[in-house]
Amino acid sequence: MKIDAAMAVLYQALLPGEVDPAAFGNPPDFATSPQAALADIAAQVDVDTRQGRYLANLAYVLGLRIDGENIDAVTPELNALGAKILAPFPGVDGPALEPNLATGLRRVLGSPMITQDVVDDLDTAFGGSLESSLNASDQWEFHGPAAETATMLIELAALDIHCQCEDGLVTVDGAQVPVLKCVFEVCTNAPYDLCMRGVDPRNWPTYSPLFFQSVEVLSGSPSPGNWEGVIQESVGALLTGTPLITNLLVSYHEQAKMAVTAYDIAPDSSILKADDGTIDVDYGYFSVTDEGLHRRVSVVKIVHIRGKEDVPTNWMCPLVLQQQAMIGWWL
Amino acid sequence: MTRDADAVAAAWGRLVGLAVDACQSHHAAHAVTDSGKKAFGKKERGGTDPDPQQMSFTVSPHQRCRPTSTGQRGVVVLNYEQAGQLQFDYSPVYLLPAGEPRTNAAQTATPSPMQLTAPGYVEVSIEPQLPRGLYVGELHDATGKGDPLLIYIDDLI
Repeated sequence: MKIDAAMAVLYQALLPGEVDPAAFGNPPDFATSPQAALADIAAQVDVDTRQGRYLANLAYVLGLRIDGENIDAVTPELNALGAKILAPFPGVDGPALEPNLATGLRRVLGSPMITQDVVDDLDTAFGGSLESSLNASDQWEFHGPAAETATMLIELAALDIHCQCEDGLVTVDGAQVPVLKCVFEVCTNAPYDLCMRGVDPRNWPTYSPLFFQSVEVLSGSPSPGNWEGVIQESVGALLTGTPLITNLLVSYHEQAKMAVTAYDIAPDSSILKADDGTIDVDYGYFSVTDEGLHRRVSVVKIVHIRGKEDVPTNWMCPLVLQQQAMIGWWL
Repeated sequence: MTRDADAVAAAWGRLVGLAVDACQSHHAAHAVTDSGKKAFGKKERGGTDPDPQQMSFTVSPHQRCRPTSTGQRGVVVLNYEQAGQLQFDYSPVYLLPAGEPRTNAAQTATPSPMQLTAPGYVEVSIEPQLPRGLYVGELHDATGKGDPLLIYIDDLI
């Protein structure tokens, strides 16, 4: 099983009824268990790259949730994945110290507060590869080879996996269409330079490969800074088996301490490649703002998929919005 | 696949506003040290990223964002933690539809400047007839330091 499909299996276990790929027809094989999904991820993921570390850490935290909520017993698979996460750090005995990693992160799952106990557990798990201290502003300072992994794991464990979503109506071709509006925000400790690169639509497939298959610029002249144009995105092959192809009018804007892309369905145009017409409402924005101690990543999406009005669409929260919100950890 | 622009503009909508926390905005985001000891096997893509083992992170004990604001059309509620006079400098940047700058957006936010007597929420009036889209501006504090401001107007009924 590919890593992206395995990740969807984990979300499906956590959010039954919300991640419902079968409703779209021609789905990948989702009958596989969370245990198999975790084992596949542990076997395939490459923790030498930041994207690989992100995937491993995400799967590990999702596994902790599945285990902790007694949805399924996945302890042996978690042990193996945790050991793999710890393995690259010098002097760390992964299998022996994985329980400390799990204990620390379970504390964060219970309450998104980084207490002394959490830090002590992580210090133990990462051995001498993590140095932690509380600074004069009562913020934790993480140093050492494991600082990035520890920070990433904390953020993923603290993540609220539910978006703020609401139903509504918008007018399309003079008719009211039911839509889902979802808002998701994360305050990440990832550096601004890493976060903001993924905001440009041209980089979406690279930075959010779980959802984006491709983005092609159909019109406009993208420049290093601000640009506007029409893109054709191919998304969601993971869930549908067949990607949804949509033309979007996009505006990418940078200013001091902020990068943002706003988008909307592009008007039909005889001179541009047509999309498949499945998505007739898709607008919102995606921004990264440097607030000093953290970067605020905001994702707002209003969407309607034709013919799927009765199908749960909350899978967009974990598989689209949350992955975009964690953009700083991808590459 | 077209949209009735008049209907969109007339539709009742909502606002999402974001003001950056001024009291946090001038702190160092993160420092870089050379405390790493062992190289990972692969170089990060592009070759310009900092070595992950040389990166340090400042991690807040509180791992959830203060929420941004939502409100009815006509009012954006700004979540600001620092008292003082704020200059609501609303840049005439209008991102949707692409290529159409909205020079009149500068007059849509009142009052400006505004006096925030205590940390908390501030309501700013926004022109109710603005079509949906993303408006970008800056908030300046009394010293002239600016922070990004995003205001998103949607037309959800």
